[in-house]
Amino acid sequence: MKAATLRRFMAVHSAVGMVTGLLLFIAFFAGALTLFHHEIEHWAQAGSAESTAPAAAVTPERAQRLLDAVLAQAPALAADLRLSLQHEGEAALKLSAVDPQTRQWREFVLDDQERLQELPQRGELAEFIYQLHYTAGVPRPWGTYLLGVVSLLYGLALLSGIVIYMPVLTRDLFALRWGRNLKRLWQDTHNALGLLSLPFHLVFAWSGAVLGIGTLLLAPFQFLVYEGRLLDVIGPQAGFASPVQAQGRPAPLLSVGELLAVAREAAPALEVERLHLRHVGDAAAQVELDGHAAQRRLSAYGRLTLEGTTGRVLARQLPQDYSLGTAMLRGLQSLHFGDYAGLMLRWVYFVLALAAALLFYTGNLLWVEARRRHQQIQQPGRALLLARLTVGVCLGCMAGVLALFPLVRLLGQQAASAWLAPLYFGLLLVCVLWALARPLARAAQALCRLVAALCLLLVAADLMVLGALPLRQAVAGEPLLLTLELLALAAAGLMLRLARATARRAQSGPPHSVWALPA
Amino acid sequence: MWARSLAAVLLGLPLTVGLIGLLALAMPGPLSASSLPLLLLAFPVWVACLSLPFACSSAARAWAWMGALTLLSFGLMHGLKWLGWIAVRSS
Repeated sequence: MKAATLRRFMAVHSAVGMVTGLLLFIAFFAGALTLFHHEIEHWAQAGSAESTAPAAAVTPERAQRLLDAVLAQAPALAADLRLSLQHEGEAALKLSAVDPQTRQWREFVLDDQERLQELPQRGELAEFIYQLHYTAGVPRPWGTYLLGVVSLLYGLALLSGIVIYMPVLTRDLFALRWGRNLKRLWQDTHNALGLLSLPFHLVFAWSGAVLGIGTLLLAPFQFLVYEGRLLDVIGPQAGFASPVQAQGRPAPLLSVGELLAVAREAAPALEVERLHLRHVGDAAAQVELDGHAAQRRLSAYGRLTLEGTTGRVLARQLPQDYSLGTAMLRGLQSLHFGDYAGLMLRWVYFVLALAAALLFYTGNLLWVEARRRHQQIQQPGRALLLARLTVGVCLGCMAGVLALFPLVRLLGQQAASAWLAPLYFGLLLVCVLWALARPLARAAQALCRLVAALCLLLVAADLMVLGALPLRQAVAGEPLLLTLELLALAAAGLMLRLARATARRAQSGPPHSVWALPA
Repeated sequence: MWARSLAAVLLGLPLTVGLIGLLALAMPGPLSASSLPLLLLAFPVWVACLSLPFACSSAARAWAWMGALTLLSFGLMHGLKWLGWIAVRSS
């Protein structure tokens, strides 16, 4: 390849990396934590009344009572209801629906005395981190679209990165040159991280784009290619719910027990987790039952569509009879969520996701390092600005997210819910401003220490509120709380070491660098 | 670089839609079998189209290549539709 072409791809790689790197850092950091969404929920509830009350068994009869009670109280919800029997593998009966008047989700449960309770709207810690993962904090749906476009550009960054690296690949792959040339070391780290985890990155760029802007991309095909009939062609395979028109003629819906019996008959392998009921009480009622099928496939998702009044099977989608398109779509989703091979795989994903976050961080700092002026104290403004933004946003995001944990532990989930967003965004803003205003080396040190302090605060808050509970649970074979605390301690140690390394470079490193402190 | 980037931004998506659309309609077998896989492949193809202008030796060539390919794919698609060789049938 010609040198000019390589230079162009280098420029593309840098530009795209700079535009998307910080958003990708946030998405991967929050995504790494979201892999343990369920565990974080458990952690947040530990020691509160919610976690000590044993969940009542989920029976079809109780589900029916919940449905009847909700319809008696709020008949307007009958057009579209979701009855969930399980939550992430655990029995939990809940009914949720969008109120047609307010367009807000409402959630209902039965309490111990079988009375209907509407759950308060609450922003939970795990949910907040999840939303941060797929919106980077920008209001929906724009945040989702933004990250979809970012995923596409991430694909371009990967492609251009491969093109640049191709010529030296065989020579440099396993080289990690420690030495005086810091740029060389950053470069080797960046290349090795990028190439060795390339399959992971390709999956995430592709699935991220599909999840973020997949539906938007259908529009040009719909109008320019498929003459308005695209959804007829791919709708059932892609799992889009087809609209159901009410007939206006009342007819009783089969009971939950009867619906589940039909499902067992029609798809014995399917373990139903949710029922999506539409136009309950109307002759046109439709029910979608979905859940997981015990089959060793990449995606085990299965769904059954029934006529609500007769139980006639309208459509069936199980892993064994997926079409190629469905298998690809569901496969990409499974690969993205990392839900296909248990806890060990999620730890692998966790490490890979943090390594990816590190890749974006090193990418930006590499660009800064490449623009270093070796003969003068004054460094180029652009490089300094990017270094400041990288440090401020990355460490600020970490600090913001980590601060939420002690907050939730000290105030309790309920009281903390209103403060999650203000605390996260406030802390992020302060960190970015701090990194912009202070001498960079000092700011980086301070922010590393802040992150470490917040990790320690998490452990301290746990000790204060829960006492010896984590230890007792670990001894009893439930090491979740203890694992999180140990992880926080390890993270604190790592951040303190980083702070020390930054301090060392500021004092005794080369003075011609954005990282040096003015004498 | 700006002229090339503009070609990527403005022509990347139309070229992708043209190529994938032509392929989806012209693929043997029922439309429902090939459409969703090809639509999912649209993302990698889009990324390739975004990088195409940077592989060209000049911005003018980039615009010419991308424009010509886009026109060709849509031209072929509509021509073949007009001839009745390919059609959108929803089953």
